[in-house]
Amino acid sequence: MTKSSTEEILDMIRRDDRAVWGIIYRQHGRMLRTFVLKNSGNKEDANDQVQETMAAAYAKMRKPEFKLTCALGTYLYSIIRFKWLAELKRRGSTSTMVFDNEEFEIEGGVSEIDALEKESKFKVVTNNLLKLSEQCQKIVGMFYKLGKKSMEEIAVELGYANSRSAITKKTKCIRALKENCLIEYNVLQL
Amino acid sequence: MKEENQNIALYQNYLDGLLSDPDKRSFEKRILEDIEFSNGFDKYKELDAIIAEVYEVQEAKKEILDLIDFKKPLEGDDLQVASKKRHRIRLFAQLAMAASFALIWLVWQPTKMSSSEVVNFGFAAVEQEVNSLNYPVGNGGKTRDFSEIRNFELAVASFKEGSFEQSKARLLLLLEKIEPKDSLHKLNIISWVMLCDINTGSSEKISGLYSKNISWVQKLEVNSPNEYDFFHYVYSLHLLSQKKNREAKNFLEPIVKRGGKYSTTTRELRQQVRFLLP
Repeated sequence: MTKSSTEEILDMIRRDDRAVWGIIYRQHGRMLRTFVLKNSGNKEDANDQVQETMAAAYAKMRKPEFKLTCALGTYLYSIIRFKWLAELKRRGSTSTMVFDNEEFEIEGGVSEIDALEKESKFKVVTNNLLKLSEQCQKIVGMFYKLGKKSMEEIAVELGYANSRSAITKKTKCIRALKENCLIEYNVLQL
Repeated sequence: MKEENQNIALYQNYLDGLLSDPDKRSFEKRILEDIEFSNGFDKYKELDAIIAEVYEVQEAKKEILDLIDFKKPLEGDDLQVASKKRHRIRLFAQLAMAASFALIWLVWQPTKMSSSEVVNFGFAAVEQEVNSLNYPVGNGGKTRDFSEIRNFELAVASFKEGSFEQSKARLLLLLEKIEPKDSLHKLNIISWVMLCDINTGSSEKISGLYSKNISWVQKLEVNSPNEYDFFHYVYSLHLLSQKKNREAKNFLEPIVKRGGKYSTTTRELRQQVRFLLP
């Protein structure tokens, strides 16, 4: 396979050519995996982190306002780097040493502390979402997901008497979620 | 904590549009006046954005799993596996080749001479020199003492007869009389002493004499290397007789390279030297 240029890749994303994601993965997957493996991660960690990274890139790069200010490899590398550091932090790993790949050195942009903090908050939210009751997970999910539904639609879909009841439930669930997240933020000093 | 929870309820109700108009106005006024309350609201709103992002990425993850088969090995992985395989094959080939060489070498080795055979071979090459040996009459314009010449002739005669102890005794007497400047001749005599010792197997006792002179020769030979070849050659034989084969080879190498009188014999000798067997 000939290596597609960044411009070709971005063009494919703009055209919503779904084949582009396979190309990106084939071009950069090994580099991403190597980073995790070189920094205290095992094979499973590497696969998880690569999936997370590809998903994050998929979510961000498809937005019309997305602008790539560095090489694609560097961009993906920065995503996995902060994701993995946040994961190590969450696991309470004492290892703070990161063996960077010089080819993808991150220059400028968001400060490392900010990026790492955001990634840590992201993990806190992800974990606390899973702690919600099934009903709460459903209603919060419906509310936040892209192209979110109106409270009337949610009420009908989840079998609430009216939108008011659905709103009350959603407010309770979101408050519980946020309270738990904020408690954890304080613990982690985020 | 209670106040924090109350604030959280307020933040959420404000965001959901559940506050009455007066409460909404009071909330907005507090945001402007109370920094702590305002910071808390910012954090809460940021949390809201993160929750939305988490869902966004979760959705993206589902879609990306449909688009990419993460279980399929990457091209680089294939190459890595192939490279590891190639490395293993190469290593195996190298080991096999090394084993073959070792086997050939072992098979070939017994055809070589033993250390004592090598010494005898080397000695035979110099033995014939005895017939043409003449004690140099002059020493830089100075005539030598008749007894010196006589002693040397007797030493040679004893050597020819195989009376090596006797020959050596006469040679050592000569050594005492030789002037320091007469260095080449001195080395010649020492070489013959070495040859006597090799034959009697007593070289251990006097080896200091050789080694002391060999280091001296090594400094001198830069200017006129060929003149010292005989001494080098005999010293190599002495090392071989002591089974210091590897060391002997180091002395034999330069003689071959210089291409002097002893180069052919030395080449043959060197080829016969066993390096692993005692």
